[in-house]
Amino acid sequence: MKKLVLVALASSLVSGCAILGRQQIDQSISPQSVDELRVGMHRSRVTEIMGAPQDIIFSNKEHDALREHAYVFEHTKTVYTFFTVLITTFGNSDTKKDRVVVFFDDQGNVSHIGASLDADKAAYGFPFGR
Amino acid sequence: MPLFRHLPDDRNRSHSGRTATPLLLAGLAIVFVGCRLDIVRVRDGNPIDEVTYEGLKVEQTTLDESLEKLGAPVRVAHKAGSEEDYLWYEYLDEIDVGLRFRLPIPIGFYQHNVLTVQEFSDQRNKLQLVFDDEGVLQSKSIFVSEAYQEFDENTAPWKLHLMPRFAHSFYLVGDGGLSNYEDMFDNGYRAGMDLGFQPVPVFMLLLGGSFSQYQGRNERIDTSIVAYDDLEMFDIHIGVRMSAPLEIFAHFDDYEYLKKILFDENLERARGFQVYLQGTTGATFSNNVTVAVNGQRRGNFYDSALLSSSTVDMGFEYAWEWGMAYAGLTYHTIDAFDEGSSGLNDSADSFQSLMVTGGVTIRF
Repeated sequence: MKKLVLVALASSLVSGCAILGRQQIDQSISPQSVDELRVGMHRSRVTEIMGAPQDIIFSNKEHDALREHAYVFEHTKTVYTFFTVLITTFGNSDTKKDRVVVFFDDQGNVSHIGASLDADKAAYGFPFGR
Repeated sequence: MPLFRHLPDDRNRSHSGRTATPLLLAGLAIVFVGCRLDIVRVRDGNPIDEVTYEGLKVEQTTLDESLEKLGAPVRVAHKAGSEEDYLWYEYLDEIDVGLRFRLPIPIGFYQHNVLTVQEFSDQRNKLQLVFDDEGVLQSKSIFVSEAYQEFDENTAPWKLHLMPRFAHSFYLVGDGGLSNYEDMFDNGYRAGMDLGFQPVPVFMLLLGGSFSQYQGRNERIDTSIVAYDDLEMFDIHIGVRMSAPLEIFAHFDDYEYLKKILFDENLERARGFQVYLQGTTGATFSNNVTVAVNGQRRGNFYDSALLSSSTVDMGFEYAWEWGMAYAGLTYHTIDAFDEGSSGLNDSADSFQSLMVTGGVTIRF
């Protein structure tokens, strides 16, 4: 938020221009729904909580090529900052994702859960720093 | 150029500086108007955590432990037969740095590029883990750009610079109405102070003000002696300053070096000789400039006005722990002054000044 205010203030005072943009893909994933996931839970319960997955990783086993090995749930947020002053243009695009990967065993029960909820960390700013 | 607005121009100008003016203006136009510096960065994901990677032990770490430490992978693949799981964590860092010199005057919507110096990189830092059917780590691998291997979490988030400076003009450019500015005013000075906000070593935001003074001259036009009052101006401005070590010119094709320099955020590493490029834009308040012809006052040649102005600076600086000292050239331009009530030909173009600049900054 501080960076947003800084960029807006700077752009209002100079004879340049600034573009602030935001793009979101798919629905955000709430921490509460991730907390509800448990090892041993059947995959039908997982989809009740999380909704339909964006991607399915299949096992590719010879006797059961379409066994569902993992579900991927994802929400993407991208924020754009373009700032022009005199002869210099600074552009920055920052993409962060909420991403949950749920692994299943041969019986279709949850065996492992990996979650990263970072979409809200996408930040406006200059193209410097790490 | 007529002395009075209604008289024909029968004055024969002969000044050595005038022949150089069009060339100088053309050069400045190509460098400053046609020049564009674009720095665009695209980031996707989170930087690879090398410390966590080092903590993962082959034949010991489980899939659950890895997922807890690293979160959800970007990609997953399952290998039938061996029942292995492949996990990838990726961080995209795309940088496009371009210095473009264009013809200053567009042809329609087209503006021809004379020269483009561009560095583009689409680099993906990645970490791969392989787990067996028991969920135990079997192998691990990582690729992280060299530019990311000296990250210091303890670096200061930003610094402030107090920046007093002084500039002396050595060449005035532009048509002041009756004459060129260089015939109407002596070379003057511009003194002021900036406050700089420095979030990273190469970049600083500026907010400041200045006072400028150019002493009025007497000049002979036809049979008349025209005497101008001093030109005094106050300005406030905002701008940006970019600094980089001198070696950047020798390493422009070394992407890893460029990345370290341009995107380092450790302010303690900004030391030694550097080159800087600075641009500001703002508002200038000019005073009334009175004029006298053959000793008789004729009122204001220029009325006081609020005008837009800008500067472009480039030069060299030396940075210590507590600040910097710098010297360079400044190109200062101000919108045309407002016509006064003197009745003389005071229809002016923009006021432009080339200056030698020096100053120090105190960092805290």
